[in-house]
Amino acid sequence: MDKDVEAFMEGIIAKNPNEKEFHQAVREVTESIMPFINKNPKYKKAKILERIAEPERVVMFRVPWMDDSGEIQINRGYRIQMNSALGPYKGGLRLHPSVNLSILKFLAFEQVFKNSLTTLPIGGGKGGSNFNPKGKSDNEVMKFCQSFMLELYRHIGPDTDVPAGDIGVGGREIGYLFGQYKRIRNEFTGILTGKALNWGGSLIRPEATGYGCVYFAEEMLKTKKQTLKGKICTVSGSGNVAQYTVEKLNLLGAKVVTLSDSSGMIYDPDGIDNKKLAYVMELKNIKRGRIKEYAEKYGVTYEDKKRPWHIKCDMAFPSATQNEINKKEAKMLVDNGCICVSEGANMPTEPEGIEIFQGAKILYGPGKAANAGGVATSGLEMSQNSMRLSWRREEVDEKLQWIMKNIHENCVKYGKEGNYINYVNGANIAGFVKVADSMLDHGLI
Amino acid sequence: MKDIDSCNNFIKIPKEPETDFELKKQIYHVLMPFKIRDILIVSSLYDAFVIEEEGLISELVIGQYHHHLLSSPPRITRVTTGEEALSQLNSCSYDLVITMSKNIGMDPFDFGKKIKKINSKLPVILLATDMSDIDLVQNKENDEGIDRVFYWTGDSTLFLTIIKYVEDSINAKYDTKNGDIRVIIMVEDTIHHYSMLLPIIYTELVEQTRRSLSEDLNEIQRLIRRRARPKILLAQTYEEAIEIYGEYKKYLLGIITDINFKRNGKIDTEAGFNLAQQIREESKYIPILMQSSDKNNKMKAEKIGAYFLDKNSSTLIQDFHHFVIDHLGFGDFVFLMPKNKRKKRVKLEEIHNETTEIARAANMKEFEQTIQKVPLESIQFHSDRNDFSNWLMGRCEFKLAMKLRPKKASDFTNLNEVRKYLINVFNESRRERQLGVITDFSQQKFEFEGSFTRIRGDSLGGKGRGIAFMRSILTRYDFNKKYPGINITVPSTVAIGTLEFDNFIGENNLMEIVKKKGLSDKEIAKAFVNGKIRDELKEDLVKVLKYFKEPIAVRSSSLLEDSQSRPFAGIYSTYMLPNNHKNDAIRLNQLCQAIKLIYASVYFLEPRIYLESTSSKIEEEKMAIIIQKIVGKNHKGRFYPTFAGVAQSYNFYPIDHQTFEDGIATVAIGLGKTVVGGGKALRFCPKYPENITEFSSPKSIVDNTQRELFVLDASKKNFRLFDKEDINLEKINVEDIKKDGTLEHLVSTFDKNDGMIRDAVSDVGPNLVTFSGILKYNVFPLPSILNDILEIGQKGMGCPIEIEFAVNLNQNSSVPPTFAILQLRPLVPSHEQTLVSWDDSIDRKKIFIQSDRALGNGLLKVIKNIVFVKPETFDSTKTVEITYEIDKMNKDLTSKKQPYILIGPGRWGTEDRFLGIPVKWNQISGVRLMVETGLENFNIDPSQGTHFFHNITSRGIGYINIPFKSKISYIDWNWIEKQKPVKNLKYVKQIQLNSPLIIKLDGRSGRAFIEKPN
Repeated sequence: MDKDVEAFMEGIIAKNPNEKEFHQAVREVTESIMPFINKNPKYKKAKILERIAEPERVVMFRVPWMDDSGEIQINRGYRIQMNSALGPYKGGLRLHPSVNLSILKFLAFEQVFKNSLTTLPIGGGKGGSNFNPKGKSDNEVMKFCQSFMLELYRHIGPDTDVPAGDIGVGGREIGYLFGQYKRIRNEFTGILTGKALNWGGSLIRPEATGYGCVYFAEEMLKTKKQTLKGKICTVSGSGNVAQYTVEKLNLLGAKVVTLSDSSGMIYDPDGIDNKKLAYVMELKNIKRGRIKEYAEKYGVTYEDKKRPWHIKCDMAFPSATQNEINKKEAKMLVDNGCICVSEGANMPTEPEGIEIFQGAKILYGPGKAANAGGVATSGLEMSQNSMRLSWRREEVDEKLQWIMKNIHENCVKYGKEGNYINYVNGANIAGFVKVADSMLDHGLI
Repeated sequence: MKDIDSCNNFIKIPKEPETDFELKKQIYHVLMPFKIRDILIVSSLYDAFVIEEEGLISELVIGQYHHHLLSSPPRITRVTTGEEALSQLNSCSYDLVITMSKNIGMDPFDFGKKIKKINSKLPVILLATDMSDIDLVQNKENDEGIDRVFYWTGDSTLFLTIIKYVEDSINAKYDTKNGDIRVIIMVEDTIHHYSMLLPIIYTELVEQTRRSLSEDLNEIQRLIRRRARPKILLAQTYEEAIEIYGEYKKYLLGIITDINFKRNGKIDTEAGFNLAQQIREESKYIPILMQSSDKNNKMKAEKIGAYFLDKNSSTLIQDFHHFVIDHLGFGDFVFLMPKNKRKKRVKLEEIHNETTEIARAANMKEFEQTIQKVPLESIQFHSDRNDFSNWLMGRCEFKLAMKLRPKKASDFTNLNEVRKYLINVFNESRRERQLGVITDFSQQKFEFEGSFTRIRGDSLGGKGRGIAFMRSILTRYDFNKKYPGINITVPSTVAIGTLEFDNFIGENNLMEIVKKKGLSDKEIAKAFVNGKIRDELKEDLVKVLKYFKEPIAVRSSSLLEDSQSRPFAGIYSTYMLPNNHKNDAIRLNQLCQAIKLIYASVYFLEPRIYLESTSSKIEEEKMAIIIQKIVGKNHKGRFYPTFAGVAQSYNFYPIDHQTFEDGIATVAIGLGKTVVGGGKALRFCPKYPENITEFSSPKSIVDNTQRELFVLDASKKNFRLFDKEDINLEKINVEDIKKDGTLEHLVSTFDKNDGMIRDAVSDVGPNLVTFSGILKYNVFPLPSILNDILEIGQKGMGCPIEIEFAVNLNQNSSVPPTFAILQLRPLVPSHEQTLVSWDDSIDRKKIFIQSDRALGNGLLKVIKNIVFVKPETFDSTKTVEITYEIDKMNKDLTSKKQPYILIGPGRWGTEDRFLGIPVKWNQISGVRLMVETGLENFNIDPSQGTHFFHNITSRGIGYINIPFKSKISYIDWNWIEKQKPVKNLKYVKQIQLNSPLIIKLDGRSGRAFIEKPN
């Protein structure tokens, strides 16, 4: 197996010299799906892996603009159109000085599988520029975005490529890019996602990751014939993901007993009900205070510099940051009777922790599947744009739930190992298979 | 002076008197034949302002000058560069050149040589303003371009001292020979020392003369006494001392000598003893004072029959003062009425017999009052003799004097017209004087609004001087024209001069208390609070409080504080008082408490250690008090300005197209404590106000913008200042003031649905302090005002500056917005003379630290110790614990006099413990180089903009910033980890290397690297 991976990687490295980031991404995916490919010679024969690792198109272009002091600045713009087997290329635009071809190819490659996993009809791509938004005025950002779109517009379209935001590209930048596209093409179409509600954006975007994570957990519980009702849940973090995770858990009858921030955690055995949640939202979103104040207000325990994984619970929702559950904490969760971990954050569990969860055969929903709700809403925004419709909050939520259910089903389909579902493998393979099968269907293109 | 005689060519020596008593009296008229009338000062505008316009000129320098020399105060011509000075010297005649040691555009010694080429006999005095300059000049003392070097401590009497000293050096020969005038010899080779001691002697001489004047003496008699005062001559070597002694031993009044000084070109530890011995043998009763840093010399000195002073004594200045008074034993406009009204001409020598004194005026105000009452004959008498203009000349009121000089009584139809004219001219002049200058405190006319008033004499201190200077600058520029509808001002200010500090310490015997070792800050504060403020001052303060009925800030303003080279920024206390009690006595008491506590803070531990680290003596430090109206508005018990901030004319971290000279400003809603304390605030370059580094993404804005602000609790009526300096301040959330209406134009809202920042106050998401209305939409032209103020301030000071300001936008009100400048201080001394260039060829393996964000300049090869916060155990919630460990190591290293490099994450000295290590100065007093590093999850922006940071740079401590994962900046953690620790505590480790690190700081490019020792 290793030999196959090494042989494949040799070719990739020879063809893409000096693209270390890209090599790394291809290696990770290859290592996880090589056993599956070896079992399915049709993919091997069609050289699906080799084809998938080669972008369908790479656009690299000059982005000249004039700064506020009248100096001419020249940046480099990129769009990697990686794979359109499932639908129009879809993936963010990144504006950061570190951006280069290798990084964007790495991101575009990963995006193909992430998008595939959502079960939505979207392909994968990525783009951006080495423009540094730090210290730039609104005017300078606008001038850059307009110049960037002056070239990019030729390569994108609602049925071709629909970029989104990423690092350095938020609502402001999407607005400038969209405005310029609209002006050049004289058309109002959904060529970007992440738009403001007034001009084509979708509802539920801030809520999507948290809600989706709970829906995924609910689906996982169903495999054990259980529901969320009455479950004691620990949630880490207190930002968007954590807040909407708590909101949905409350709605579905669970009881959340913890929240945290970078300073420490609170433990409220009576549960963080909707009233208390409203206080948290005011505290964190408006006042931007510390979670410690919750403990002071409600007279509950505050533990300085602690994470909530030592608290007894049925389910855990790590929703704060990377690497927030280590091996020891994973063991504590299992020992305390936790039966399900659904990751709202990106890669919150360290590899040794994942081994503990899988070894204990508890339900473990990795971030790439459990928090795909965020990516899914991009797809839903595209759909609404194509239909020239804006769905109500409930409609979007309903479709989100349906997407999460599909993702779960796919993970189960490819992750079943006897009585146990390995959601990590399931997610990796499900993402790949859908793209690979579609490519086979499309013939040698 | 090195060549005293050579200067005699400048003296127009009068014919020597014949004989007899009457003539002998006249001799005094011709004594002190060389008078410095024209001084050329080469300095930045700021230095000149301090000398010329601070107000001290009328109180001390010129005021005292008047007492000595009547109508001959020096005219001061100011130029800002050496080139300008040379051009002046080619076209005009001067008696003295005083040049600052830096910021004059050329090396001062080269400058001196060029002067001597133009006129070899013109005395040139160099005024060093920085201890590092002293080191530089000490080695060049024999340089022929400079006659003598003095060290400027901010004590304005030094200026008078220099003039007197130069005159004495030149006049001594003539005056002793012709008038039997006495001479005091001082032998001292340390510039810092004689610069400190000479002013004491001269001040005493002035006081002595003043004391000896009795009320019934007339002008002539006073003149005689004044001119008969002893001369002081300074020697720096044994040979020089012997030569002076040989020449003047007949006239010797006393000698003050160091023990170690040069003989035959080498330091001789016996030189002082030998000199004293020789003098003692010849003159049995001459008082001799010997000074030494070595206490063991005391017995030896006393054996010779000399008094002894320990130079390290904390009461050195006081002891010296006593010696001068105890052992060296050392006016007004007088309205006269001719006894014979018909006799128009009265000879000078007959004045005493022919006239009667009818009134006297000690100052301009008294003069103005008196002139309204004196008989017309007296006015005619003085008018014909030009006495008015002469007196005014003596007070440096040149403009007024020149106006009066051509007028004679005969020009008017009657004498009443003369009186009216005089009253009008004085009235007009007084009005003019009040613009941009300091007014004397007056019980009768307390004209306050927008004014700067001084109670009691002596210095205003550094901060007071800065404020006064800013006011004077504002009057020179027509800001109202450029910014119509905006009130650009300095808040109404009252300053209590340092004299009151001396009185307070003296009258309450507090020197005894502070001399005690081991007293805590609390104990010192208690002793001071129990002290009694003089009734006269209290009466004045009652008057002040009648006008100040709004909240006031009572600030420290010490001599050394905010001086150009050593700003003690934020070291001493400042008290904010709501000043709202119905009972005036309680308000007065609160103000007095604040004053006493500020006086006490001079002797607190942190300032003391800081002072010692700057080679200053605590006795040199004197405290003035600034009472300022707080700029702000009362919002239901919370008093605060719309926003406040700090702006610097030099930006240490320019980004993109910004340059170092574009400056930087930091602003925050509410009182300025958020900014100066290093809290979360908005930083922007006034030249590019829309380019905000932190505003690259909504997340970055949400993470970095201000959340909390400081307000004054204006509802508080009773409080104990003793408990806490900021007892009246309240830290609240920005959201808490939403209803006050002050956030408009300053706040944006994050709309999470759209992922956008909307420039409006709204409830859809968190309100973020972006100042967008000001920085983007120019609702208030803050950037432009700051650019202007920084430019003129820097031009005036001659060096980069920092201002503190507060703004009241007065939204939804008809009152125009106010931009108030609260403080002005110099930013960083330049060290152009020691340039270090960057070496790109150095092997990276040899580099311990490399950075492109560094401050300071020079090559350091003395540091072997590194104290660093261990990245592996660093915990942002344990920063307070980390300060304790650093404190321990600092104590140990400073006791061994070992300088060290301090390395740690985030901001050093921040008040927000989550942004870095909140150390205080006394906890890191031995540091020579500070390094701020970024860690993976702790990559905080650098400290710039805080008082703490200001102190780092001004004390010449190197500073290096290493952001996490920077491409250029770098620290070799592996190397440091491999070194064997001397101390390894939980969070902090100390290592000691066998040989010193090689530290190179390239100030111009802002780059630095530290080489590992071989």
